[in-house]
Amino acid sequence: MSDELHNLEQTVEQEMALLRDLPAATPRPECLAQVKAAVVAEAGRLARRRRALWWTGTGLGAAAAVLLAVGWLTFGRHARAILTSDPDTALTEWAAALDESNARLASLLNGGGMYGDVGGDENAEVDELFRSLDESLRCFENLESG
Amino acid sequence: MNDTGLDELLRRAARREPEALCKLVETYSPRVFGLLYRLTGSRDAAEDLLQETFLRVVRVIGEYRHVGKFESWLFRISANLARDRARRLVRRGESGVAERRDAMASPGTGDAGNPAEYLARQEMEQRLAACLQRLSAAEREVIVLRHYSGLAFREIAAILKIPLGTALARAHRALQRLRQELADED
Repeated sequence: MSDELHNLEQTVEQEMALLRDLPAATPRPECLAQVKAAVVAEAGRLARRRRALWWTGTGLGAAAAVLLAVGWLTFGRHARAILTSDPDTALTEWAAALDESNARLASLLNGGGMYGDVGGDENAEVDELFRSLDESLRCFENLESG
Repeated sequence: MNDTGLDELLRRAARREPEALCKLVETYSPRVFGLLYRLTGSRDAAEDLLQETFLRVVRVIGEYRHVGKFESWLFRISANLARDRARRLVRRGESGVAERRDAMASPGTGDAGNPAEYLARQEMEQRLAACLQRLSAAEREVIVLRHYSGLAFREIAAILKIPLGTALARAHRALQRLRQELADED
């Protein structure tokens, strides 16, 4: 602090004696009681609010934990399916099933069975074709999940 | 109250213990009320702001770090509330003249003693209070804060966010005007 400021402060402090006669203002006792009651009520309100926030936080935390658990179980199952399926094997199986299915379809079409009356052998061929197609699709599903 | 006692009291108040909060109200109410009464010029307004000050204390005391003077923090809250109220009155076009008349009356407790001395003191108090209300708000604020808070001018300058030189110059000017007003009345 500069000397000038220091001197000014000394002067002002001496001049402040002028306020010596200013009466000490005191709040009325009923006002003081009211302020205390308001302060205690506010503290209680804040404590209740804090408890409510704690419960809300805990509830949200529990809900999040449940969601995580459900999500993990679901994902885990999916992950287990992926892990147990060998992609190379699945691809080979699907390609083989598809080839077989195509071959049977070509054989049927070439024999005209699809367009006209078919006998017992042809019926068996059609059944076999659909079975091959089903197998091909099953293999494709396995391949997709892998 | 010594520093250790205040530390403990503030720790308990930070946990919002009702007893500690009431003790804070009891300890600081007279000075805070004195400041608010002189700043607003109204007993009713000072009582409202006193309550608002301590409600704010309860709400934010958890964030208070007792490194400086507690009074500095407390009186800053009070002074800011009084300023906000003054701004609201100005916006609404209310001058607060009626309240200033209210402030001329002594708010003291009425300590009797010698009747002649009591009357003379009452008269002086009323004149002083009336002259104080004729100062500008900025001038009144700085000397009233010094009188009631007991803080140094450096701390008051920090509360009002003004340089120390400005605070001192304002106080000096205010006290000179006050002296002049009292002399003119004689």
